[in-house]
Amino acid sequence: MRHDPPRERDQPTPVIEGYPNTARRTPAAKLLRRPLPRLLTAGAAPAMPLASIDMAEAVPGKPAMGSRIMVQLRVVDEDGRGVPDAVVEIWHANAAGRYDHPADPARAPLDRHFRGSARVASDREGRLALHTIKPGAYPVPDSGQWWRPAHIHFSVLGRGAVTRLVTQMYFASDPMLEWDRIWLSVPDAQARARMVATQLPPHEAPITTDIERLVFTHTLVLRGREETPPA
Amino acid sequence: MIRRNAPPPSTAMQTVGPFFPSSLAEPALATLTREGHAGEAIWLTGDIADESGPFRNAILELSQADAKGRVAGDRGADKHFAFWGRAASDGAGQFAFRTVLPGPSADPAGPRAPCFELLILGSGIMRRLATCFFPPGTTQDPVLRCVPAALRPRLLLRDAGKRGGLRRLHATIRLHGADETPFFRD
Ligand SMILES: [Fe+2]
Repeated sequence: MRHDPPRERDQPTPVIEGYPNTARRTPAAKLLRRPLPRLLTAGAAPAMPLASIDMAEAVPGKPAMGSRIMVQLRVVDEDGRGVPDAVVEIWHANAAGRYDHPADPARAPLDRHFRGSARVASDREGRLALHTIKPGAYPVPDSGQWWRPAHIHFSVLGRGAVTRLVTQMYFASDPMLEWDRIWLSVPDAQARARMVATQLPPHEAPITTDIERLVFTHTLVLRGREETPPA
Repeated sequence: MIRRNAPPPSTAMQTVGPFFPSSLAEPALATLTREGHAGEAIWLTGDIADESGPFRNAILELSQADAKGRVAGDRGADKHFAFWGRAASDGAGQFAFRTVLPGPSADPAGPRAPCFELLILGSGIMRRLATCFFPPGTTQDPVLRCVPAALRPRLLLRDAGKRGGLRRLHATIRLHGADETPFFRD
């Protein structure tokens, strides 16, 4: 397996104006090159307690506020092959744009019927389904007038620690994307577009689906490929 | 050669933001040892700071070999050891893992000294931020050799006495500034 560093233009500019933590927490020195230790390429995703639940119904029979959605996720490597048994962690704000987190100072209300996080493993083809509600946008604390567009946070652990991915998924046709400093921090437009989920027309959603959900598909690409990339 | 429909490159990284849930940083994930593990149990502790002081709510992820230097998935790897752990820093930027002192391990780059790989996540960290720490006195290691000699001491753990009867090794992590920790581009 090759694990080449990602292309510069596909990754965020590390220091973002108006987001002071980025400057405080980005090393000033250049990152050092090293031979990639086997310690980081070997082994399956760590064994972790999984909690595959319907985030839209933390209390069975008591739906959370918000639009019910299903995200059909596929976790693949850079050859497009499904990554089995990847651990996918998910967290996001509730429909009002409030996190169930002590550090969230938002005035928007909590929703005790919404479960703000989950941890799920992908199947043999790298697929998994996430049942939740569409998160709300929220103002970034102490940032002046910057709001985050609706987004879902993903943390993925695949085979080998170097494939570790932490990213966010966004929703199409959202005017707020063009004002979001974090989404815009990725220079390449296609790389930004790949962070936006695809919505299925309701009449084309799989018939096995709970019809009271809007269905989205999304692909997360982990580092690593078997073959030599084209010259 | 341009390939048609070539699969896309790896997804862009984005920060975890300030609201990584405690439900995903369960205290149990900071204990890598299981009943019956091989080797010497230790505390790997650390303090992490950014340019303005202690870094609260940093997420630290540890990858390491077992006491005999085997990595996850190796034949004979210790079944009573987790190879990976996660800890969150407290208000003073302090964190702790209960783990073992890893053995020296084999690697294509050459024999590795015992080492602790750390990945750091947190609000404002936009990209992969990875480093590794070595027990006090380590001099020979193919990764340590990639670090300018003057900076190598920053990747050495400090003997910090005992905690609960176990040896404690302590990492000082500085993300930005004159005394900043060396990080790797992987
Ligand atoms: Fe967020």
